[in-house]
Amino acid sequence: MKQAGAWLLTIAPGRMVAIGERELNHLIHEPTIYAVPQTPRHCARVIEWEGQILPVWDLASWLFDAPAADPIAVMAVVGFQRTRRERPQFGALALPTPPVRVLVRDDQACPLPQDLAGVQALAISCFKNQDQAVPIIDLALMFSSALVGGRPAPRPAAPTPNTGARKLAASLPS
Amino acid sequence: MSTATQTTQSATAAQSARVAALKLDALNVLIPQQDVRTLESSIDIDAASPVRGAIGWIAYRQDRLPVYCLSQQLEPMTTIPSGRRVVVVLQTSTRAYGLLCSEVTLLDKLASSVQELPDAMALPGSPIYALAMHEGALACVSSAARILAKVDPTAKNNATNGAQR
Repeated sequence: MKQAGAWLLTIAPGRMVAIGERELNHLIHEPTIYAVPQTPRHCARVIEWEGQILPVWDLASWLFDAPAADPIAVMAVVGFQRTRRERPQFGALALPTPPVRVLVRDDQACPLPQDLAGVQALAISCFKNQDQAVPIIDLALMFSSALVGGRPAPRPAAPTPNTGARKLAASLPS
Repeated sequence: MSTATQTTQSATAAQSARVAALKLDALNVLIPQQDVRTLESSIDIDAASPVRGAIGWIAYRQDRLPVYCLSQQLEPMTTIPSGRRVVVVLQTSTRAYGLLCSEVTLLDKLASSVQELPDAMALPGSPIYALAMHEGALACVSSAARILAKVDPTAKNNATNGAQR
């Protein structure tokens, strides 16, 4: 059975999302953060990293309408590609604790949690980890302009347990 | 030409052009110097009967120009925060107006690179189109036209969101 590495990102106590193993580039503890006015609430700050100004995505703000607490404990610098040939782009995720690495197998696939408004717009699939549904988030989508307007209206629940046609492990960017 | 291409060209232009660094309380805003006509003291503001959204008037050559005030969240204000002492007179392709600032510094060159505002942060109608580090802090890059569209929404048609510097 195929398996792939992933990073579990804690958003709030008992709430996690995951990204692909190779999408995490760097961790910064208590970084200097700059607010940018006239921006969406979930992406209203930036950090400077290796000479670049990176947008900071606040998952707690998006999912719970509760911005990540200041000071932000950990900033995860993530890399993603919108297309395979594109030069990697970078962004940052505000986290309360450092990520944890796990291996994910196809048979861990499960439906998206229904009690987490807004996760459908971000997730490409979902897996069960210690009885908790962990959505795998789409970084390229999150850091595009697609979600600037805020959370879209919820879609009807998927009729099948798997959230996509692709196998779970294959949905983790490598 | 696409909006993205125009914004990229604008960010590149801001990098090479001389800029004015405006301080709005703690917020740094960079504007091309070609958008700046002159600097005046806030003492010269005439607060009588301002136009909607403005805080008063300032004399410039033969004209009286509306003076606007933006908070450090770039929201229009009709009360003047303490510490705002300088009126920068800005010029778009069609209009001149005043903006009340804490400080204004004219720079020959930016020490750091200018980057486009990340896609995930670019709200429609935002006066900011790029970001830069300036003297160890973040600066938001804007223009006279974009700021005018914020303080006077009736001027939006002239500012053509996203297309202008």
